[in-house]
Amino acid sequence: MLPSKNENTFPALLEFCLKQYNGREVFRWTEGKEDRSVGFDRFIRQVRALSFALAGQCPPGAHIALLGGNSYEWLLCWFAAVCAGCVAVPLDSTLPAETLLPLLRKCDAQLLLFAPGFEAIAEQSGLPSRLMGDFAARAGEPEDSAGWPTQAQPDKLATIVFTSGTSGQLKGVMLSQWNILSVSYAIVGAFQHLNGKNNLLVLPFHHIYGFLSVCIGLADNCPLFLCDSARHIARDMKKTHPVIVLAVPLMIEKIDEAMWQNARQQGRERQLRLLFALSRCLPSRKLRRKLFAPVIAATGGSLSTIAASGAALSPAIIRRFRSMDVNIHMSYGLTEAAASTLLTSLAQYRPGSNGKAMPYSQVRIHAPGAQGVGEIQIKGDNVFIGYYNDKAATSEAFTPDGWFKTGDLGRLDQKGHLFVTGRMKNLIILSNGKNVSPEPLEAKLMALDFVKEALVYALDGEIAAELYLDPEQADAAARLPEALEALNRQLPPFQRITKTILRETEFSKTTSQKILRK
Amino acid sequence: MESILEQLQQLLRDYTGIPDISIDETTLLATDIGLDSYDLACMMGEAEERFDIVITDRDLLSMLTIGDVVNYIEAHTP
Repeated sequence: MLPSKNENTFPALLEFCLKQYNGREVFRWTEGKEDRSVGFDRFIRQVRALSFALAGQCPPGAHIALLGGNSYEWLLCWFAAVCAGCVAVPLDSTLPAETLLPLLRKCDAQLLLFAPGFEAIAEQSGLPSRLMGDFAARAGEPEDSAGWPTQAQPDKLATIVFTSGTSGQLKGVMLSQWNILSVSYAIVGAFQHLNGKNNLLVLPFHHIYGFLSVCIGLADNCPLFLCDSARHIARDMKKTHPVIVLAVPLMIEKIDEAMWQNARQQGRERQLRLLFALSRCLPSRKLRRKLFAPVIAATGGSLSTIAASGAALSPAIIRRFRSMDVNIHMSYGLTEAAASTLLTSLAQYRPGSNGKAMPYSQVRIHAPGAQGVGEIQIKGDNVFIGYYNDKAATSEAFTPDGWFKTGDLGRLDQKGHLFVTGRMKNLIILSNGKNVSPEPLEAKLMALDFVKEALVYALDGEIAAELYLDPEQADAAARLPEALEALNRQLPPFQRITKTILRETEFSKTTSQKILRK
Repeated sequence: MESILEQLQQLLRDYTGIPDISIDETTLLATDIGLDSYDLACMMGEAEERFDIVITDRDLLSMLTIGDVVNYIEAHTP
């Protein structure tokens, strides 16, 4: 039995889990050199105790900011905040202090719960703040009790998730409890038969897609292994033997790359190619799995399902993984649509497609051209409430009849499979799922006195800057590497410029003197 | 005993599969070696084991050159 629309709030989902999965393990993680685990009953008792503690300290609707990497304490804090009727505001802990401090002000945080290492930011914020571990310790060993501090409401604001806007300003996407749960249940329904199978959580929880993997695991009784950092993915894969992983395309590309690299090092590249050719003639999944057992061993040996979102993935890689009996479900969605609106199903797989609309959501193409390509628009239970404190952006994001304008271009085939073909906005979508607005980077480059014009775009998966240097400054090219290194040191890694292209001439411009983008 | 730089060079050889990779303290991790943020995180996971240290994700953000990594390991090796 799976949760349904009756479980349309987090307290209701937790009660469902307590009834259905009591006595089973839900979270496991590594702390230092020790392995730890927690069952559904203890987790839910702790959340309940903390939600009452929080409700006694903060008024309903208070914004609770969370700052830290993936951890059990982080999850306790998130669930306690939402079950207390407060609003959880998870922040990207890799952002620099200069970005985090304005975000804390922008989201009107009333309390900051932070992980070790963020003490200075907590102090600078001037907010009431506590270490997540200290806060979580308040739960202690709670006794069995019942009820929740407030009557949870499925459609009210539950969390604010910051995402890059086209202007480069981070926008607070307001999501309700049902926004997140409707997507989670739809994915659980699409996967089928995951109950009891290991799920490795590799994506950061502050990212809505990373958080979805938690909800999916809870809803479908999958033991969840918390991976605290990309540094430990390889270790945790081997240790936890995951069956399911929610990932970004970059991670899948890396597994594929490593497979070929190992084959090359062992002089077996040709053999591997032959193996893939042979596997296409083998209808038996078991046999194919056996054939590729040494390759799959690098992912723990049990991997069978990957759900990927955030960017495009080569159909050739998807085919190779299917040959190994590892199914990649590509999904399409934005934070504004609680990460997923479409998902490819096994039975209806179309190469290059991002899938069909999932239950609770609809997709349409606005003003399709001759090839059927137009703007992708979304409507449904997963579509966000609006941007926090930004009525203008919210109004701009929706059509008069209530469809969310994604800014992406695509087409639908006759059976409703969506093919994403490009973007209307300039946003760069990297294969690690991160979005980068080129304009702020261009402004920083233009601030260098020897740069006349700058254009930033993605090139071979990296961020490239094409520059026209001041021809009157003879040492401009010589000064560039040092200036670029200094600039990169101020930027989070995913925004760093790793390629430069120097132009001999100015860029072509529009009539309003804007650089013509590629 | 191998220096930290030599051990890092070996880690990079194993990770990238490039046998003749050559580095010094000024080598840029992204531009010169082509490591993206995922590669860098994976490599540092291996460095944690090799040098018995903990490198936090936040510390990772400030590493741009091999020299940054060497300095960090030197400062944190027990």
